[in-house]
Amino acid sequence: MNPPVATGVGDSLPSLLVVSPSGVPWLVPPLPWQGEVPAALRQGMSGVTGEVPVVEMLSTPCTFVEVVALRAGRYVPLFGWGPTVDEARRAAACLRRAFDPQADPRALEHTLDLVMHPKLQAKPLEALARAVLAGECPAWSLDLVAGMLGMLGASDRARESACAALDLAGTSRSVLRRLGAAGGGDLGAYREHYTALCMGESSLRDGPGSADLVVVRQWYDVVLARRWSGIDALRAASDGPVDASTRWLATTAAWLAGDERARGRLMDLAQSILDPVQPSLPRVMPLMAREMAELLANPWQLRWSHLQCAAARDHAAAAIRTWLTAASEVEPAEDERGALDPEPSQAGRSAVAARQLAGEFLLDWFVPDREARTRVDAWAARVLRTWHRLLGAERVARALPELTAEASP
Amino acid sequence: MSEFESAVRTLREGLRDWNKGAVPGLMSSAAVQFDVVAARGDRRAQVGAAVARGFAGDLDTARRRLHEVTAQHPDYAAGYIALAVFALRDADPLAHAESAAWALIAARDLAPDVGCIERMLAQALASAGEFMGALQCARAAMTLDRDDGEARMWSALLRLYFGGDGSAGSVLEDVARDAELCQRSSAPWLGAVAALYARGEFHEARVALRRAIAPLKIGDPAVKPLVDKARRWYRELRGFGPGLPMTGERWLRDVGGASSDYVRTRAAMTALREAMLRNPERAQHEGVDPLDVDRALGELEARTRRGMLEWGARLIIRGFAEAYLPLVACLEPPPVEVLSAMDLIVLDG
Repeated sequence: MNPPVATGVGDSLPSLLVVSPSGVPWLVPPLPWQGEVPAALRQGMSGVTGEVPVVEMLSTPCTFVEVVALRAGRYVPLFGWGPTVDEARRAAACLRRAFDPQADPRALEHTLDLVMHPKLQAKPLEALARAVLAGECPAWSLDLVAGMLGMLGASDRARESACAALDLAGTSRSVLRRLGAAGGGDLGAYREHYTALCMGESSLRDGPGSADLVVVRQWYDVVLARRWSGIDALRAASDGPVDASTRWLATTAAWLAGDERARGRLMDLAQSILDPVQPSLPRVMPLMAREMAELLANPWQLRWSHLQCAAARDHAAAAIRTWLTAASEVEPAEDERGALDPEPSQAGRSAVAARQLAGEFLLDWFVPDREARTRVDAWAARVLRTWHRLLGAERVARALPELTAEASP
Repeated sequence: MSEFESAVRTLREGLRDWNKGAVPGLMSSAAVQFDVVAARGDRRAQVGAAVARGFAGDLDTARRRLHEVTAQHPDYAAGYIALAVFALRDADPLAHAESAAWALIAARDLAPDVGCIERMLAQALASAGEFMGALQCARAAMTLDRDDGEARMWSALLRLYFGGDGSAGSVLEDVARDAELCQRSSAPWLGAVAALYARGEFHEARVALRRAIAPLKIGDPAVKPLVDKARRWYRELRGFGPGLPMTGERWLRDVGGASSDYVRTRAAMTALREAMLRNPERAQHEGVDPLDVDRALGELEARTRRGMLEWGARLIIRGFAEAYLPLVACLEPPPVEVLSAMDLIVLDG
């Protein structure tokens, strides 16, 4: 079994939980992280002596050999030794080192590599979710992993697959999964993510955290589908029982719509979210400050781009919706030829099909000014990444005290 | 009298006694007579044989034969015209509108300045949703034949619902009255329905609709689809409402009301423009220009108005074609100028 590691989070080392062999089937020799270093990687290691070690935690700053180990798959992924509190402590320590003031600029990226292993994929996370479900591991460890992913700036795909693996723990976490999967900026797949949010909203109605899900969907409506009805709903929803990070996301839409006071509110919200984790993760505040400064630069230019996109929608399509709704009203049998069935004419049917397309997310407009659309899409991607950092910070802030309490005698 | 002339005579006799279709026996007889002549390689008779079969009810064979004629004689306009005639007289003219349009464009290239080709092309293009081209063809047909009431009707309908020209409504009523005087069928009253409803004369519009479908017997299952098509179109016309898009009283309702995305986008752009004018230094620093916003506002309104006319035309004009063309095909035989264009008869003068 792995040697205990000092994380600085807990004062003492708790004993390892009993893990059934069936729960961690990959812990049989040869272990997945004990593979050979490929020759191509060895060629660049002429100055390095000795064997490439198996990495469990990165140094601060990380060394060249550790980077080679990461590339070669010679590292133990998070919860690679099984769903134990020790592994949770190792995860917290990794996160802390990533946000250490002395960490190298790519520390977040390297730490993200530790989340999944190329041979195991999401199996350790699935094992963790199962252990939580069986009561063998505390539930906050899920928050810790999901929060880590967000804080480290995981890609849409990595976040989505990790959140799907963690969702095995049960439906109460499904909202967290949906929130964690919200994205689309990496591959321009906003439409698919929007569809997933809508499905989640309808299936998890009135569940815990569903209000957050609604706000996120409405943010997509305003920012990416340019539907103004969403901004009213966002204003109403952000006063409701939603997390601070979700409120921050709603405020970005208000800022985009021209609310001059939103900037200050965004700063305050970010500050309040990051304050609890700032002592443990000192580099998070400067990182967020830089990202926020990028996000909130040139508000008029961005607002103008957003309005250009909104103006490019097919607003005339609203007319045919009105006409067809009026035409579908039931007509009484006014003459001797009897009642007419509600079936529309073929021309009406084709207009209905066009109307359905027109109502679909991101299809009812064509933005001739590609630059404007790209600018809004890129801004939306940055906002979502920052929001995931804040969402992650909230989760980590919830998990860290539990971890400390678990470690205390 | 030659064998070909005898066959044409039989064909015309069958068409003369039109009663919701040609006389099948005479059509079959004409087809057999045309076949005899066609066996000697006469391309006019090949077209005639296909046309006679088509009017006898065997549309599949007619189309197949006409495709063979156009393949053998690609420079012969009559085959294309006959194909288009059967496409437009189909029970589902919208489904065949594009193929009819292509056939008629080919025919027009081979035989320019023929009024009935331009008129049918206007019908085909309107059914296919190509309204600008349809309007041009209808006008060309009117230029070639000032008395072409059908072309006047299509031109007026396109002006009314695609061009937003309210004055075109009176033409539709005139055409319906003229058709009555010329002892045509009652079908053109369907065009008058559109004009009357646009003017808000709802009772008159309903009366005109009843007049248009009056020859179709109540309870006759054979004509029920035609009646239902006309009534469906009328129902959608009622949903569309009186007046024309772009007019003041309809505009706000058509764009979705005061809280619609159109209105709010305009309001947001106007607010941004005013902010830029109040603080030009900041606008310059951020690389935005109030003139760009002005331009975008103009484009937004123009595009929305144009789009609204386009949507309206798609619903009303295509719906009209869907109801009107089968009604005409049921109530009226093909006009003689069409038979002439198919090279079956020679019109004197």
